[in-house]
Amino acid sequence: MTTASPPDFVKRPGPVRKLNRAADERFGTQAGLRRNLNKVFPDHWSFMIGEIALYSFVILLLTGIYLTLFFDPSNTEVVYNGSYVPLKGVEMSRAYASTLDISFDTRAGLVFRQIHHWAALIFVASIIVHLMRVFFTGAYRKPREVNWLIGVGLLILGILEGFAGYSLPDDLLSGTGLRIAASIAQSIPIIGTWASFMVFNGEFPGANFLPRLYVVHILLVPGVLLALIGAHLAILWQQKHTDFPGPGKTEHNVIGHRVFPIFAVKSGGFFMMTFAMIALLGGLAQINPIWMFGPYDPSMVSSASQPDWYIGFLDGSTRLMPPWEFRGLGHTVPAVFWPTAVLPGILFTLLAIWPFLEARFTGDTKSHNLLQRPREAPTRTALGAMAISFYLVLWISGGNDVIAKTFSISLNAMTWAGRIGLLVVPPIAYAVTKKLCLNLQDKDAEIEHHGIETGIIRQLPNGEFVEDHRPKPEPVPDYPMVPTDRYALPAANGHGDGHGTGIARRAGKAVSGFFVEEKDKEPEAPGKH
Amino acid sequence: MSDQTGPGTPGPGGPGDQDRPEDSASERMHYAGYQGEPADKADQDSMSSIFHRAKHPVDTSGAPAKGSDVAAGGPEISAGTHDGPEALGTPPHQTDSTRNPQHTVMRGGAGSGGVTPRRPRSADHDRRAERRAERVIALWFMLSVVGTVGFVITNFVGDKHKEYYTPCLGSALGIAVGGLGIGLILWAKRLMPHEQAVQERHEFTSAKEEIAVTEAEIADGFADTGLTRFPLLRRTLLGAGTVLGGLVVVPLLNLTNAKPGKKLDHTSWVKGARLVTEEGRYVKLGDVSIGGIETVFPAIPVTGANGQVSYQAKTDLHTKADSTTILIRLPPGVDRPRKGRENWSVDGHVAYSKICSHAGCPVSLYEQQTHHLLCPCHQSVFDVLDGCRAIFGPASRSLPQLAIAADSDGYLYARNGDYDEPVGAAFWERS
Repeated sequence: MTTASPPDFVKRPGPVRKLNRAADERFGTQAGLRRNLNKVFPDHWSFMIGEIALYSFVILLLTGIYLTLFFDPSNTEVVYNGSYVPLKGVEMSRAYASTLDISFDTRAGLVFRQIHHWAALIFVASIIVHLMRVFFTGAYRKPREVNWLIGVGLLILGILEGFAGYSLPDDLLSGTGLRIAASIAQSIPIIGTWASFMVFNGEFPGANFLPRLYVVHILLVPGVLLALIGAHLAILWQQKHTDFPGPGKTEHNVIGHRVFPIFAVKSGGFFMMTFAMIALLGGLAQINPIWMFGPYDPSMVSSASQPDWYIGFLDGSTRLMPPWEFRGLGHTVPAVFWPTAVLPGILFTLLAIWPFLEARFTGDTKSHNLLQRPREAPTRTALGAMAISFYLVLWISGGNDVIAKTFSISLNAMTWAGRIGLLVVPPIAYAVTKKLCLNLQDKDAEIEHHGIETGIIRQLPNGEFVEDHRPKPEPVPDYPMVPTDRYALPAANGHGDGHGTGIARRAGKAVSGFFVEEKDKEPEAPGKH
Repeated sequence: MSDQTGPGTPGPGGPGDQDRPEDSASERMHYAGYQGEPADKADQDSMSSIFHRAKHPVDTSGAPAKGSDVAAGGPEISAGTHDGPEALGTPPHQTDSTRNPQHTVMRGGAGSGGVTPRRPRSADHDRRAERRAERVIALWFMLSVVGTVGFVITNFVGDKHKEYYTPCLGSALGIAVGGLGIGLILWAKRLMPHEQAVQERHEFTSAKEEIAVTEAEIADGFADTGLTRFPLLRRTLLGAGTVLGGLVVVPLLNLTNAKPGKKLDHTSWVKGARLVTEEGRYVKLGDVSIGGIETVFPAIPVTGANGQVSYQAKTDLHTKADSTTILIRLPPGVDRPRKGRENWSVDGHVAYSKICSHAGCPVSLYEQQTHHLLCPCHQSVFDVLDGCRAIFGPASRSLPQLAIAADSDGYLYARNGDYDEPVGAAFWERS
């Protein structure tokens, strides 16, 4: 398993080798192919969360393509005459009618629609959990700030894409969401009315709005998402993955599995597992049953109407906002502007610039490849806990009517609890987390100095009882460590192909030039590059 | 590890019997097994205890990779030897001498450089186990085929209107991809060699010379463009680019077919418009019982050629989006109309915009006892008795009131025409 001397050049290549050589003659693939197949990815369960996001996106693309074949994004009013009896004869948009058709009259339509919706929920969820992993381990530090920025962009676009997606069926729930979106657009100072009219093509509900939303949902945002995901992965590939400290691991190496074969097979299997889980959810767990909501009607709304989970925090911030509307000089800045436009603007901006803020405040301009445990950066971890608690208070408040109803609490009390909680809980989370981190650090230091308690009590000759401690063992690697490259190439001799010495090369050239028709020249082919 | 005596044989020459260790704390530190439990518990062959292996998959005893070879094992003590429960004051067991620091290799021994790999899988040294793993993996792959076939059959043969259809499809697809997924993962875990490949990272920063050359070449190239020498060229290029960029405004503005203008200020209500329900029934006095509500829309009066007035109910989406009105019949005497609105109601009937003044949702929950209207979207609460003033939640404006009256036949109609203020969410141009 260790690096061996170079193998012999196979003179009678099989079909696979032939294909490889054909590609190499045209594109010069060998060095790059070898480098990339031998690329090492470290192994840790937390590194797979981002993979879930990637795989959810692939599932979204696959199921989304299927849905586009049947969905008709049209505002045109039709009378429904499908197989769902309760809505027969009801006037509705063709978007809603075709969604009903997908759900009831298309083979495998409902299951793919539900898989699509579940995959969207899991896509955003895994992005956020991945973001937390990256945050709490300090993986965003130099040189990976750009990938952090791309990741924040992916999160924002993912939320927008999800919102556009669940607004497309034009059911009562999605129409209500769009109405709120229109009100938010309208609330922007100076340009708000124009923005809203531009987005909706006129006064809400606008004219032929759904085809536009459709283009945004299936072309524009997915295109940008795809490009950003590509950049995210390319940068990851180029910079190599971070890893936790461990036996043999330094800032200057990566230890793990090679891409080929173990990482590729494991990742393929993991994609399949993600797909399987989402397929099971899509088949067994009903989601967004639009036929129960009915077509959109601006005069109607169902109580306890909840957006998809990732919009919940904005719903919550809107609910908690006190009725502070600024009026004066003939103008109005509506209350809805602050919690839905300003607050997310601030939150996402802070999120985006965090790596630069941290580098600035800590004065840390070095590059890092080894991750930190959360306890090793107490302030960062505490700030993260603070942000999470802030988000959670907003998110819970987004469903405060459901909570109030379920637990028979006064809705007003829930709202006030949210308003106060939003200010009180994050500082508490900060203080508690920081204390926790520092105590854990103390514990680590103690083990470092005194060893681990064994539970064995012994009596000294003088009668004193002492507990035995043993030194903390050095961690050992799970598996034998081997160099990345299975075969050593002789050092490059200026021509970089590593085949033979200069003299051998020149001899080979001469030989191949001489016996140009002979098959013998085959082994020396690299010399002709 | 080389001088480690075989288990259970405190060897001759071994210091075990003669030199009992000093009863010092520093030495005793090492007596205990370093797996967090007294070493005494470790039996001669830790391989024989499934429990031990399950708890401590990483074997640090210094046992060689070939698990069956016990003889060169680590600091285990002889079989059957058991110190019994730890008791206070128990002197070190006789065999404890073999665990003196100088005879006990704590971490795999110096020779192996502290690297003790995980115990090999049974598939690594047992052909039958290998075949077993192969069969298990193949079974999962076959299960995937079953799932795929199940999906195809359900899709084409199943009745898509039956309840089983979607769950069966989802489960079959789950089995189809999941079987393949589990098979792949087992394949990688059980049959592929386990090793940690070590790869060097490389600095991203280029060599100083490289940077200098690149920068110089770019600077030279820039100088070749002459942008520094020809200010007129530079300025006109910048200017033309900026103006061209301004073109973006065109498609943006073309996005809307209508300027906002005063559209947000008006609804479809006109003077004399009757209040009509969703079903097309004109609302008359007495239709709504006390404490009842009705969602109404405008029915626009149209004077025909013969001078006869007919009403045209407007219940299209656009009308509904801003003209939806909620008609509430209050018990007599509770309403406290605002100044100037004393005659905007008829016989306890009051009409307010149903479009929430906060974010435009329909304010559809009416509490009869408190006469409060609640918006289900963001829980704004409006007090109907007090001119639908916003009393709780994020809404800050009252719901606009529609002045209504009853004609001689008892039909309710809008007496002043449109609302006197914009309905729905506020916006910049609104005063």
